[in-house]
Amino acid sequence: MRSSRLAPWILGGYCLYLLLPLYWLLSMALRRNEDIVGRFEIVPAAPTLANFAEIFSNPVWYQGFANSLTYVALNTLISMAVAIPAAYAFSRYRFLGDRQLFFWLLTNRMAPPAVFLLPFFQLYSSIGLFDTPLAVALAHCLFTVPLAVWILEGFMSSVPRTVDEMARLDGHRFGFFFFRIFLPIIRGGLGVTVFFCFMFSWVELLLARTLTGSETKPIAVVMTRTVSASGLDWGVLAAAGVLTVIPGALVVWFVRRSLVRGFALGRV
Amino acid sequence: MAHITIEGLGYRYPDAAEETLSDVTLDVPAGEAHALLGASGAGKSTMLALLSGLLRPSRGRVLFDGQDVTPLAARHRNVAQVFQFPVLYDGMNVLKNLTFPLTQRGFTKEAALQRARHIAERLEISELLLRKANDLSLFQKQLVAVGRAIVRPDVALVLLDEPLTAVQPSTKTHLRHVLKEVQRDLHVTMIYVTHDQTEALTFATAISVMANGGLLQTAAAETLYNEPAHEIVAHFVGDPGMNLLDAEVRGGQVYLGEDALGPMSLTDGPVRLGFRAEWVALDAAHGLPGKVLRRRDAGTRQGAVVGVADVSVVGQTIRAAYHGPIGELPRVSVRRFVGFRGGIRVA
Repeated sequence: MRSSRLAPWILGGYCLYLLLPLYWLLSMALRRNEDIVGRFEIVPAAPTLANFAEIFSNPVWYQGFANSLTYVALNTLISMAVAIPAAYAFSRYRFLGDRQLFFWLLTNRMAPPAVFLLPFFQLYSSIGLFDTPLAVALAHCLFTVPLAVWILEGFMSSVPRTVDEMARLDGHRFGFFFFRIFLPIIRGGLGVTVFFCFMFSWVELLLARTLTGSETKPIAVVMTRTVSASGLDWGVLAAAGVLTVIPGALVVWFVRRSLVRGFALGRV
Repeated sequence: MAHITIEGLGYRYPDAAEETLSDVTLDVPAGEAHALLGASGAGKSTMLALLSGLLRPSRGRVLFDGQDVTPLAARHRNVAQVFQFPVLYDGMNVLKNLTFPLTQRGFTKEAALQRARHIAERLEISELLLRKANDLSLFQKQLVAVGRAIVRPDVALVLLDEPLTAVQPSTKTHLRHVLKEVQRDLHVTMIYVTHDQTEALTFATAISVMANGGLLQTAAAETLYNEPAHEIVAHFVGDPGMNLLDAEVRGGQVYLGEDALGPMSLTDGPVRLGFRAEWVALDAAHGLPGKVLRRRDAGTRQGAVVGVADVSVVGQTIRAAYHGPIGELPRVSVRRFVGFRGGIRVA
């Protein structure tokens, strides 16, 4: 009896703990620098949208967002295009060394991304890929492709092989079966995979910072370089932070149902 | 609805040392309900895959209406299959599942809808048409899967791979009945794979018994029961299966130990004697001395055996139709029997 009365409080406290930093970020984004450093306010006394206006009018800021979104989208696209056929092969065909290869895919994830910094930097500089969105996208693929193959294989293997056989008996070509029948069946899995590729690339900072110069500076890097002569621009920084959370939150919202299934499969 | 001819069909899996299926020859007339009966591992599923074109045979030919389809891929054979566990396209509703195979083959939307509704009515699933495939019970799903298989009016052959496995026992009879009825009315050539002889016997007009990758006998149920061509058929068909005893032929008489059982026109030598439980007469007047060990009630079966007893006779145990008490010492005589040599029936 006692525990059931306590439970809502514990849950509520935990939610508060989770949401507090997020709320503080939002509240900072709505205040002017003087108010942020000047006094302690739980609710902004004089809310302003000036910080957001600054981001949307200053090319350094909105270019940063555009740069980030470009390589993230590129990475997600490449990862899916490579991982879907690969996962299908792992799930449906037996070939020499398939088990070993499947595990070997994951070994890239056993080293921290920093290990690959130097080779990537040197390689891209010498072939003129440095400071392009493609450079970051390809570097991130090293991590997202194995992840995507791993997740997709689980979803694909949960579709019985008899579905493939029935489609053949129904007289469908492989292409028709694959795109019109098979992929729609695992669309939940596709959503989950997109989410993980997107999130990895969106929050990864180290590779993104090293492989970009002045042309394609990602938003996270822009945020770390806002120290100016007048000190730290707290409000704008917070506003940028709020905007950074939004794409991730949107993707989670769209794939929330399949996400549960993905976790249940134990591959995520 | 095609006439199916299989000639000397053999298949060896890529890494296997021996053939999974060897030298199978079979003829299924157009519109026949045919059953492939056999224990698991007999080669039934391989046979289905060869018929549908999912596998290419190592040897032999498959002909539909006299036309050699052996080199044709599955999608050019116009074969439909109902799988052990119902396969439907999840996410589509039942109507879409039924019309999909038609519209993909160039039917107009109206014609496809009309045909789908007709089939649904026939299978009594009209009220499910707008439901999503994943919301159905296993039984309903299997009905829809059957509908998908027969919805193409020009389908050459429908294969059923143990279609009742996933279905609850209480609805098995119903689905079997529906299948049989639809098969008869639409004159679809159907090949039904099962290890359950009751299913085979009630569904099919002709039954092929398979074992160890070979076809042992193709016949009507009655013939399989009374005149099995092979020892395995004798043992496998019927509940209980045939009694099989080692006996000897001497001078035109068959002997069980030192006692003559009756005449058998075979050359002298050992013979495997087979007889059904209901071909045995237990009475005190004459025959071999025996003892009733156990009794069980087998229910009504082919040949109407009601009570079956284990009877010990000249050191071997046989099953015989019997209703009396345990421990009796009756005389055992066998009214009718068959003989096998090397597994093949010779008398």
